[in-house]
Amino acid sequence: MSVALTAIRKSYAAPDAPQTRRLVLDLPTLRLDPGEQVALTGPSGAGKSTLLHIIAGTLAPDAGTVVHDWDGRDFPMTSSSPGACDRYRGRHIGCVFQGSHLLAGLNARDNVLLALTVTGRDPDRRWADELLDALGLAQRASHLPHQLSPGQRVRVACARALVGRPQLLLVDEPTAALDRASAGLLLELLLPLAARLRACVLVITHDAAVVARVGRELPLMSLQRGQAC
Amino acid sequence: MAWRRVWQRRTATLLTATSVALSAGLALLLMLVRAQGLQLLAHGPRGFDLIVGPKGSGIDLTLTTLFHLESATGTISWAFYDDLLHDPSWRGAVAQAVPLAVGDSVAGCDLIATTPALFALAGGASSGGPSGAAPAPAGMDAAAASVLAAGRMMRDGTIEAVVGSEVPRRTGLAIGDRFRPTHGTGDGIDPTEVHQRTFTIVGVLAPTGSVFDRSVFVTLAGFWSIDEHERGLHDQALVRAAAAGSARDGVAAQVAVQDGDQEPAASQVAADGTVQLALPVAERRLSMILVRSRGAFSAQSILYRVNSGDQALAVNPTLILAGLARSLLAPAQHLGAALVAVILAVATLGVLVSSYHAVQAQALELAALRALGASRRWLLTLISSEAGLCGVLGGVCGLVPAHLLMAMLQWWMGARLEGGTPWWQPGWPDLLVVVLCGVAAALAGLVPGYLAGRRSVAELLC
Repeated sequence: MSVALTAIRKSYAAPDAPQTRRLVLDLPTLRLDPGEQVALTGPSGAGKSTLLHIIAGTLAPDAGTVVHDWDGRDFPMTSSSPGACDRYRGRHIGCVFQGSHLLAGLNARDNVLLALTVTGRDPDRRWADELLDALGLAQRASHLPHQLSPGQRVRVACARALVGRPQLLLVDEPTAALDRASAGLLLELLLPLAARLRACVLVITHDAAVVARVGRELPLMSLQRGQAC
Repeated sequence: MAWRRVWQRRTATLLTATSVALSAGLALLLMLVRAQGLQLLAHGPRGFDLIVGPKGSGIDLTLTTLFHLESATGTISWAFYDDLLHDPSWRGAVAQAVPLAVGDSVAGCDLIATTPALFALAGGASSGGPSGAAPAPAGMDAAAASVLAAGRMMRDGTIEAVVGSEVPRRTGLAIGDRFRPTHGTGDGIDPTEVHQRTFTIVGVLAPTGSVFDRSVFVTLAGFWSIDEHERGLHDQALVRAAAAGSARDGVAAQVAVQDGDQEPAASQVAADGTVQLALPVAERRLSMILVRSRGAFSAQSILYRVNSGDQALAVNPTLILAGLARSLLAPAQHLGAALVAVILAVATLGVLVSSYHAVQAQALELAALRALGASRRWLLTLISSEAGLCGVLGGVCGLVPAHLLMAMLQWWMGARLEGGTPWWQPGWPDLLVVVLCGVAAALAGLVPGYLAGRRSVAELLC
């Protein structure tokens, strides 16, 4: 899968002056190629998470287009209906957001399988267990979220993002709440799994260690036009 | 999924379900009372299709006879009953007739003077009695004896009595005990006005679910042999004679009253309990007569003939009850339906508020689900299902207090109302309330479900 972004602009109402808009994203072009693993970097408020949500289709840009190329078929995310975006995202994109946001009433395995059930697919329990095993959580599959450490919860969220065999994995600050060792372990486990699925990976971070592990860095500030932020 | 999420926030669910349960219970209670009322009025009497009583109100006569809700306001002559039973002109229409005399009570239980034929007429033959019941004495109606739970049937023409199934518990009286009736019935009686005649209990009737269960039965001879009744009936006879005489000849009537103004001879009771009645046949009076006609045409014929005369009033209790249901219960039904609607609306509002707060509190989780690909419709279904489950849970929990309140109501009303459904027995109102609660709650869940789907995932997760 590849993703092509063209002339993306996004602004928000300024908190102190709602009448005025603050442009946070003004991106002439960005392309993610199949199987590519990229670290998107930039200071806080630079629009990294905004860009991730626009790519995921959970946020509409003010202007511009996002087109996903999936097995030679284009899916125009920005011009599709919310329902179509939901379906596409559920089938082809895996997301790990800041904070794991696991459902408190479900154990680790069921949280992973949730990504399949909410999109109407049969829960593949064996594959979920395989992912949990690969992420070092084989013994924690039956644990509820509150029985897991923060690092384990993030790994469950990663397994949940991968269980649908996505072609695009979007990861937002995965190591923000983790110590260095846990952060290192997470990426050490996650990136090979994504590569195994031939998924394109976009990791948002401002952690140099993460950038070093991912390999390719895209500094957002350098991609934007001057007036953004 | 919905169930697990409901279970996850079980404390909040329990509180919401409790409020739904209270509303559902109240709504169900109203429906049960309504259904019970309709059932009572729809069933009508068993075993007989006409009531013959003194001229006056047909409604009063029906309520007095079937439910003991009114006091008997007059009497009819024994001769009228005798005619109904034996006159060839009535025989083609009247299949059976049972005389009743009321007006006394025993420790709050109504006393009914009748013949053992009453128990066969009012369903005794079909209800059957326990195998341990005593065999019918020689000459006694076997069907009447079959309604006994213990002891034997009272012998006609004696001062024996049988009591309804609840009477021993309510009064402490048992087989072999003796009692003296108190004059009057209902709440306004003077407990010191106790008659001198003593009756002996010889049997306890099997439960019938009717006013019979709370009644004490004696023979007509025993009833008439009570001193005060003898004197009262004698005086009434004089007054009637005077009234009849004054219509013919005022002077003669005055003489007749003065000549007759003396104490009647008292009845005697033999050692075996048999009453030697002193009251002349012409002075014997009844409160009402239960009549089983030979068919619908015969019933109509009896009604017409009795009501054309000036001695008695005949009513079809089923028609009276149906008329009451139409005229009295219809407005109450509308009010009840409106109340049920309001109560369920309040419960629905409670579910809506609870569901809305739950959605607010779980905004991040729900946003994560959306990010995973859950559509707005899926989210709507999930939240609506959760609310629906909460409603069903509340509805089911509401059945218990409603039926307990119904039990209390039935206990309070006693067995005065015959033919109602037992309080513990579930019926269509239970199912309706649970379904209504579930559907209303699910509909209420659509609002927060819709709002949850409209929230920006990016804003929540950034």
